[in-house]
Amino acid sequence: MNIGIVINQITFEARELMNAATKYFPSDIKIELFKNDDFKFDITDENDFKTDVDVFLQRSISMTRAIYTSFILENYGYRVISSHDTLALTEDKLITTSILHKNGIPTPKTMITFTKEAALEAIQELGYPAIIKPVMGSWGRLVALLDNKRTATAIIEDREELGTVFHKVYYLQEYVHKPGRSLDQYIDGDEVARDIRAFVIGDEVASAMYRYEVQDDWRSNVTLGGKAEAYRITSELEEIALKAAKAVNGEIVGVDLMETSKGLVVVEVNGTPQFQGIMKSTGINIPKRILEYVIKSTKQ
Amino acid sequence: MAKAECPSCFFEWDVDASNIMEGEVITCPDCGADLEVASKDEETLKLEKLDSSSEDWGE
Repeated sequence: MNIGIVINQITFEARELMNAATKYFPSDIKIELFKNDDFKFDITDENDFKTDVDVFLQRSISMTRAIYTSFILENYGYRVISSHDTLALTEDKLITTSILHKNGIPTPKTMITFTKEAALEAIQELGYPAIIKPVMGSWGRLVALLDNKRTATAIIEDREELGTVFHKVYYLQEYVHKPGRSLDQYIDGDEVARDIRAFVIGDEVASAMYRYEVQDDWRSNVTLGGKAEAYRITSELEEIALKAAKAVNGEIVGVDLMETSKGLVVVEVNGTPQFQGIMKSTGINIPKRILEYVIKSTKQ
Repeated sequence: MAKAECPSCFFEWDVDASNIMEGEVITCPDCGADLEVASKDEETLKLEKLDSSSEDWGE
């Protein structure tokens, strides 16, 4: 089987997928890298792009390029994981939250507004502190905790003046009090607030980890330095994570959850999930599991 | 182990270069800058700042 990996640059994930193919499937899988810098598509000619690749794995770090290249390759008739459909549903938080809610998956209360005045009213309804997130973006960029009206006004005025058109779509969310100590009680090495990342491959949760808040921050993204630790997969997590993956037609996705007094809620779903942190914290061989899934699901 | 130096903050650290590819993106453990492996040998990993925009980078 020929697998094409679409990349901007070589990343940990692309390299580990190549290493796993060589190590575990030397006679079954041939990997070819496709740098999206080199693509030149005639989208008005359905025969323009020919390759013997059976399945493409989408690993572009640029979300714009990921969405477009998945769309174009699928249009040429290739199977791409993640598909354009999954990426379009996961790359925009407004769409993801709406789809999750529509499918009965618990999410934090979320409001959308398009002006500063409406945003401040919405935050008042949600109650302080609240969270503001850009509808598109990753790794915690421009996600802010709005402690009070003064902070909220300042941050929203910044977005009004300096933001792009997408930064002026105000995605406002209730603050979920994570288990663990509050930030002002933080002691180095002590237990801190956390969320959960579940890594879904096909119809299984391959592994899951706790991600602890970054010191002197309130976010817990591993890319921001958040520490990770293996999470023992519960039936509740399995059910919700698989349901969330299905809601976005996801084959290989990362589902972010938080623990609340009413149970788990899904915060977001990632269509090209990284796996360095989850491999290190859980010991689960994610690239091997991905390749096993690609082989199995292609044969079906 | 090879020596790596971040061209942004000049932090130096030791890296197992045998498992890293030329052209790979790695992150400076000190300042968090995304860096590209320009070249490598047993002793040194030469890193360059990425010139492409990371505005829409993510997962």
